[in-house]
Amino acid sequence: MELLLEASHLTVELSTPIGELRVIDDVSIAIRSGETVCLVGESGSGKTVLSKTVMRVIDQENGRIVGGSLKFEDTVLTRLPADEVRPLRGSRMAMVFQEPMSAFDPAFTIGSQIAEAIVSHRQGSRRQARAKVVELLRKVGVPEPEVRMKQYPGELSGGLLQRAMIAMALSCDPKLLIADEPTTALDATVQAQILALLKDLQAEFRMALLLITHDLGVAAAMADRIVVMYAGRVAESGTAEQILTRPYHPYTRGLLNAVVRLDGPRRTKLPSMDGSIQGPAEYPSGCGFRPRCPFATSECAERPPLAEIDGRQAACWHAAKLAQSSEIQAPLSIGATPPPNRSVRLPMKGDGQARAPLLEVVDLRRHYPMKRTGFAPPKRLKAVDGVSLSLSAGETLGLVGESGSGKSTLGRVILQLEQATSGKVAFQGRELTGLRGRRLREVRRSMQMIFQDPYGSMDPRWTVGQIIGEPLSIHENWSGKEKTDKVKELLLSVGLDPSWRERRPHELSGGQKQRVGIARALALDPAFILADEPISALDVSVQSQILNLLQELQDRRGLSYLLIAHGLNAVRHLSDRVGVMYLGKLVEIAPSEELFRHPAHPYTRALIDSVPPLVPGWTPWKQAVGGEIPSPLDPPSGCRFHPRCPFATSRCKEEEPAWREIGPARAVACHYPV
Amino acid sequence: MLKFIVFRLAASLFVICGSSVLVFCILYWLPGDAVLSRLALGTASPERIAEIRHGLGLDAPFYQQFGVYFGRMFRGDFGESLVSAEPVLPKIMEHVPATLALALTSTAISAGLGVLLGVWSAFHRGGAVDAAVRIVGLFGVSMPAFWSGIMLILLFSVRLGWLPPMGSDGVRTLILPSLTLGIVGTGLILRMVRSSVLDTIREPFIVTLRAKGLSERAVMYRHALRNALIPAVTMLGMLVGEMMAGAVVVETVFARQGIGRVLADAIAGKDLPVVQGVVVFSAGLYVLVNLLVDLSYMLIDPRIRRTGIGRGT
Repeated sequence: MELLLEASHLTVELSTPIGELRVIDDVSIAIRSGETVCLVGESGSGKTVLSKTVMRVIDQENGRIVGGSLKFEDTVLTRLPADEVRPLRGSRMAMVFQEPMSAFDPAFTIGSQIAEAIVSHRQGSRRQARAKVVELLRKVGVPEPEVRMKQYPGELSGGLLQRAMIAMALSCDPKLLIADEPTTALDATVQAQILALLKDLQAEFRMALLLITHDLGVAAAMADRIVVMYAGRVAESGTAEQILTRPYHPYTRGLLNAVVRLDGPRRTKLPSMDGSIQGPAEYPSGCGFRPRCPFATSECAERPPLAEIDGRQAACWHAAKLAQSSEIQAPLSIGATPPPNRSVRLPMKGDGQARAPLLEVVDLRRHYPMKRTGFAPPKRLKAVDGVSLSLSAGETLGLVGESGSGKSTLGRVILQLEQATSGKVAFQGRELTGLRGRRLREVRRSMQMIFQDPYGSMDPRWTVGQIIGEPLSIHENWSGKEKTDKVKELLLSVGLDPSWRERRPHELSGGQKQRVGIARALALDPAFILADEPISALDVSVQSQILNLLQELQDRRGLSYLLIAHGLNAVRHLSDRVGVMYLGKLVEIAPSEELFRHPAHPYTRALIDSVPPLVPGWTPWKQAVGGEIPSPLDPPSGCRFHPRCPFATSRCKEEEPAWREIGPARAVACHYPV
Repeated sequence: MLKFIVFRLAASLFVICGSSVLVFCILYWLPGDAVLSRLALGTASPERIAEIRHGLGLDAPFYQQFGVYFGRMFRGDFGESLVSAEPVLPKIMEHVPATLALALTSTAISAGLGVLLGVWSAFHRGGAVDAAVRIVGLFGVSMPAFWSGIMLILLFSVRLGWLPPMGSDGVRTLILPSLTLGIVGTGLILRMVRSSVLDTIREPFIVTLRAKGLSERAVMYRHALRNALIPAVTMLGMLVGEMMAGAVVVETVFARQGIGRVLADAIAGKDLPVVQGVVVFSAGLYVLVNLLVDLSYMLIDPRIRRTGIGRGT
């Protein structure tokens, strides 16, 4: 295969108010035509800057290439004047971005934005461009392309927009497609569809794909070769097989170990790396990974070169030695480890009388009345539509489902942050739905919440001590030394230094902020914590740290968790039982292990199938469910899942399946459970 | 759409009534009245004053005066000037064209210059051009119109002798007053456009546009500007109020005909019917222009067009 893109010793600096920051440091990568190279690494490792440098859009963002060279086909891009780079962009090489919602200009139709790319590269007249847009949209699987092309970005779902974005990137037959986290903002089911689409199109258009991702599962599914980046440099690069089964660099190894696996042991302590990646201003001298590396020696103060070892490249002084030693284990071989180390406490039949559940939710509904349009009666958005579940003390109940399934609304209604339209929520035997004012505040002491975006849930002007201490002042009326001592104790219990109470949120990393959020939730010694996507905003290596912390706190304090997440791996790992929601209804509930081993509902099955495992060359996404979750304003008749279900019959269309028990602690709402 | 317009018109009626009631009350409770200001102090006997007051109905209790005035107003009769005894409506209509000419020219100057300088400054952010333009903007919003008006007269009429310092006939007399008002509007719009453009070019979609190979000119003028101008259009609606208020000052400084001047004289003379007439007229104009601004949104911003514009108003 011929060489398409070659970066050698590329160095990029960004000018910022605090000076020139070297964000890409001596990076060499090569992409041959037709191959897929995955760039993996945590946020801040320089992946996105590298991709923008290749497209030379870095110029407008205060960045410049200060060293090395960049060659695309026969053109040296390094110092090419801007107006000579422009004809290449969008035609020979194209790019797909992470957030399809914000990557389109909201003031123009989808069709006109795609046509604009075609016309600006003189690939046809406006009329020809329009015809080509329809053809492209059809090719990427957008239904009714003639209608969709006249719509504005705000009117399409994320999945459809990402398809349209891909159509736009393909409009001039690029030889290199750069996709920067193209599926991160999407549901796993839609992610599987988009990845499959990319793979098909890549073969059809015979183009090379540079895929940037933080998700090693995605990399495993897509990559021919993987380049691992850390702190603006390449840590390791090799074939997918080499990187995933025998990583040489300690960072690659840590990253792979930190991934929570769908087939790994549950409730074990996850192997995790300490700390988190530094910002470009604090990149250490020598090896960038040195501060977090368990193998670091004095040698590492000097910068390791990217050296060739066993047909791959690794930038580590110890790589050759580590490759021999048993210390670097192939992470894929630890799949079959012992079963859960903790007895699962399930609410069994007959057990109920002995121990009342901590939390009991009965037929809970939350409907939002919509504005009347025209003469039709006003519609109701049924975000939660008749959910019943229970949770015992010390138990973790996971809740999964695509975005729009009503998970978060259910959580907020349980905490009485939103009023239920009907139904009951009993907590410690006390009915909550009618409570107001002081009585409700009293109950809230024992029901706390951990948020998805730790930074957004804190007042940026407050110190960590004030943030954690606030519940203590409100509920316990504590102040002075008593409060300070408790705050220190809480900080210690979440693994932070007690002296950090003087810091403010912006001085902390994402993982540290989430620890502060957890400490705040623990301040009043709650019995129940609602964790709504507690790790999805965090880097892979930090996710496992937080999961470990949550487990440890549960074991120590006997907490009950309601864990809401779209990442199935984490839910499976932490939960005793898992409930699956679809369009406001619970469709299945089962003990965690059972659910993932033998899903009864086709939707559960589809969710599980759409998670890429860490095995190179995995492609069963073609079985994954098609379509996207419909609007809860107009849920389908009968079984709400029937339009997407491969097993649906006419009965499913007409009759809503009843909720029935199919085993101990298992229930499902399906006419034909698998 | 139609529903929205009807709703807005009904709401504007409410605004107009509210502002007239407010003006009526303020003028009623202020010390002094039209009779006192009409008759030179001390030339008339107290009996004579009482007689005139009685003739004009000014000695009636508050509720009666209120009832009579608004009763007539709803029949379209704004009454007569207490000072000159002219009917109010024709008096206002006579002066509207001069003020409209002033307001339109200065709005055009503000919009044109404001957008141009704002965009220019944003595209060259951090440079000398940006610094200069920002000083102009600061000058515009912070200099009072009566002062900058006088300065313009000193420069262009007294020193250079290019333009007439006062009067209201012909285009030449329009230039200095509309420039005076335009400086204020330019400052407001320029600052708005500048920050709006700067916000827009940080949006992720700008990178997409560059990545698909559009020229920097197309990215900026076709996409960034269109998105950035949406908030600036709102500003234009509010500018109308600014211009009406400015007209009072500018028409006085330049001794121009116009309803601003009529209003200033009427307030000084406690000439309630005339003040009321001008207030109703300007409130109506303000509401109408803002309705047009809201409707024009639908042309610029597809998100509003599709989601129904009644929302949030």
